[in-house]
Amino acid sequence: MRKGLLEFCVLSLLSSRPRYGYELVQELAKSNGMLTTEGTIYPLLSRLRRERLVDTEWRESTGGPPRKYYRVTSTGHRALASFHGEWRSLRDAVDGIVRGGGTK
Amino acid sequence: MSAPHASLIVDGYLARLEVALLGMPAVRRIELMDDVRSHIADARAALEVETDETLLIAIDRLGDPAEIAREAGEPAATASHAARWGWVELAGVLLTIVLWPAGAILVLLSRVWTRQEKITATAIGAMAFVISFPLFAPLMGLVIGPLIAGLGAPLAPMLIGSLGILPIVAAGYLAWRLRSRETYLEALA
Repeated sequence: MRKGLLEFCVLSLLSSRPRYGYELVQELAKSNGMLTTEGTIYPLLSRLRRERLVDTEWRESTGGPPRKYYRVTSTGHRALASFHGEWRSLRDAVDGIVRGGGTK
Repeated sequence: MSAPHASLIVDGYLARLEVALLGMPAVRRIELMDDVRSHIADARAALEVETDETLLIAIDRLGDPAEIAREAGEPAATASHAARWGWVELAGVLLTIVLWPAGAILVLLSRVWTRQEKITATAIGAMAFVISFPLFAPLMGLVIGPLIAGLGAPLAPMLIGSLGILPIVAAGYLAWRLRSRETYLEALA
């Protein structure tokens, strides 16, 4: 999994609703190959926060210590929107070539 | 119910991670250690039955501490690429031409250009500023004057005339680098 892509997958997951680290890891684990070493998600999240693409808030949890939740900032939403546009055009281009090559 | 050797397994992993992260700034290291500690707590809570074996599997999934440390030391893939330019960058480019010191400060404050680009642009701008600044004129006149004069015509007037282009070169360079920020996918290539 390319690192840059993983960052945008994380942003995408967080854009639907704020999540805490372990929850996010579980979501990513559902997609095969998305996250090979779970621990590396934390330096990645820390980086996204330093870039102000996400911010964090502490929320009470049931029967445990408070949890750190990550949510997408307005800068993060803008970055995500731009990425979606580029991703779609790249995907269409690749699909076009692959399909074109397959029919020959 | 804790695994028989739970603390040995968990503390052992955390100790290895802490050693791997020793090169990091303390604030970030402490934060990362806390993140991993809560992850382990959540992972343990999610285990149906905690035995040494199931706990080891959960810990193994975190990955090699060296790999986490490597990720922590990585520059952001999105950092310079994801950061879109805005008013600061626009003003930075324009002021680099008309009011260099203010422009340079904005450029240095911006999060869009990389350090390398900032140094390059600042060096070009500073060169023109220092040479043309009245306070430095006598010094420049003494040192550079004879050198330029030694070149004779037509090189000398050409050289002096082109000094005025330097701020425009610096601004042009900055603007060009901004253009290359336009695509995120570049970062993934």
